[in-house]
Amino acid sequence: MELKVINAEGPYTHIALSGKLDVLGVGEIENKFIGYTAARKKNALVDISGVTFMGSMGLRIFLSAARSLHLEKKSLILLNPQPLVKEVLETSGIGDTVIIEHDAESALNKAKA
Amino acid sequence: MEPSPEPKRVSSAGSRRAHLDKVFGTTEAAPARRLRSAVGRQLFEYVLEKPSGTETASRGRILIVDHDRLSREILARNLQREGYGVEFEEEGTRALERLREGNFDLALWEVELPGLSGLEMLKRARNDAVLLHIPVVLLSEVKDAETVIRCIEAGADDYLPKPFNPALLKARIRASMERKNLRDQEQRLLGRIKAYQERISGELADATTYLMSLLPERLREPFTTDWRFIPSSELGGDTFGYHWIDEDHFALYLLDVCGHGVGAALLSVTALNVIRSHALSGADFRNPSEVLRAANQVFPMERQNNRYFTLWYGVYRRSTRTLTYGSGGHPPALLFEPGAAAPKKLAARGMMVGGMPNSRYTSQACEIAAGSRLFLFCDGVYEITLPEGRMYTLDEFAGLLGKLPADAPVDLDAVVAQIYELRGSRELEDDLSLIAIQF
Repeated sequence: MELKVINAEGPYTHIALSGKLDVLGVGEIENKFIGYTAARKKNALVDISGVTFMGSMGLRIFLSAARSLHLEKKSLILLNPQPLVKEVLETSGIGDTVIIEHDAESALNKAKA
Repeated sequence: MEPSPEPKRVSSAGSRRAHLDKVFGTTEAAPARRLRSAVGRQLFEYVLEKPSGTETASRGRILIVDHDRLSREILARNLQREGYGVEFEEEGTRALERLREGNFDLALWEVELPGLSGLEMLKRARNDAVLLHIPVVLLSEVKDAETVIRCIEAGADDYLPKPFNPALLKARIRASMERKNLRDQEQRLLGRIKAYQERISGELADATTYLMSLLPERLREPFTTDWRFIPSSELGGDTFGYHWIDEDHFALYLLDVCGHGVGAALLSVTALNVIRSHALSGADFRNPSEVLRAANQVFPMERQNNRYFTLWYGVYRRSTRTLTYGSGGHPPALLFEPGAAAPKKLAARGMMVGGMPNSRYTSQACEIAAGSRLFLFCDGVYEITLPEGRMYTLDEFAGLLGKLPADAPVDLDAVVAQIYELRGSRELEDDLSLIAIQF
């Protein structure tokens, strides 16, 4: 599992994840992910187009980050999920808490709204 | 501990000289031999002095195996002076028995023993679980490297050539004793770890038995039920059940706590018992969305060690043949109706239970035709990495269930076997829970 920082200093955090978000993968990036999302208290744009599998522990870190940001009236945006990952996200109901989008600009507009 | 035998003084000068020569060397030229004998004699007198300290085994207990009485007595004196307890044996087979019976810290034995040789003793000791860890220092008048190598290869901790140097003897015994002490400490630690593992395994087995006891009995009427539950570790995060709420309403449910293992199992068992005993305040258990909403309030993840669970909850009403269902982030159940080309996915909108406060849940409903089959499962049944690297899908799993013979009872063993085959292994990444209801 890899977490790549695209831009952490702008008005929103922009990072990308790739690999399998299973128990092992989550263990590899969890602290870093929370550090770049929940801890920064600004909207977080996470490109997940490289994520090939989403397990329950993967949902948990998204949910944890989204809940923390929600308290700051900020959003977690998941960008470009692959079809199977999108299906897992939709089934989980996490779409009520995070923004799932294929277009960064419209996602950020939703976050500002 | 047995008292160490008192070494006897050698009576005649000739015999003393002969022993001195044997122990301290005999092959030198006369002047050198005289000098060496003089030194040896002083040493001999020194080693035959009664030790100034005690003969207790405060530093460890040593068995000397040597058929040469004087040689072993000299060794004994040296070692007793250092505070070791010393005992003797002359013959190999008996020596191994003594070692097995007694609590020795080290054995010193001759390579060239009559009968069972020192090397053969060593091979036997190293294949004996009781003797395996007793350090052995071999003594021999044979000085060739090949003998030394054979001794070390056979498992000797050290080798001392005769005639031995007392200082070297003490240093090597001390080093072997230290290794033995370290090995003993390691064995004690291993023993404690093993005991701890056995205790934990026993407790996990008890917990698994309890978890399994909560799972429902198979029903034969008014419809048949069957299920399989295979946790990926000792305890699973999945659990499920079904029960009659009243004569008309039958509740069925499956929940999956994120992760697996003990932490997940504790939450899954708690949630299962709450549902089984209708212990959600204000919830009508005939109404899935109410059950989900109430469970979401009772189990917020911040109070459950940051764990949430997914839950599919349905109620079958016998009088109207309707199934009402709701979901908290759980995969859809699959309903196979007689004659239908594809199954219905029984999905409903709703967040994982405990994920967010005040989440909204909905109830959906469908009719259940006679002969229909309903499958309820966790994501572990289809989240499988195939050998080619891609993930198996829910639709493919539905296709697998659709191939089960319609005119025979549902064969869940065949389904599980197919899952194992797809995985290429009987080891699971996630818990596997699967319920089948044949209406």
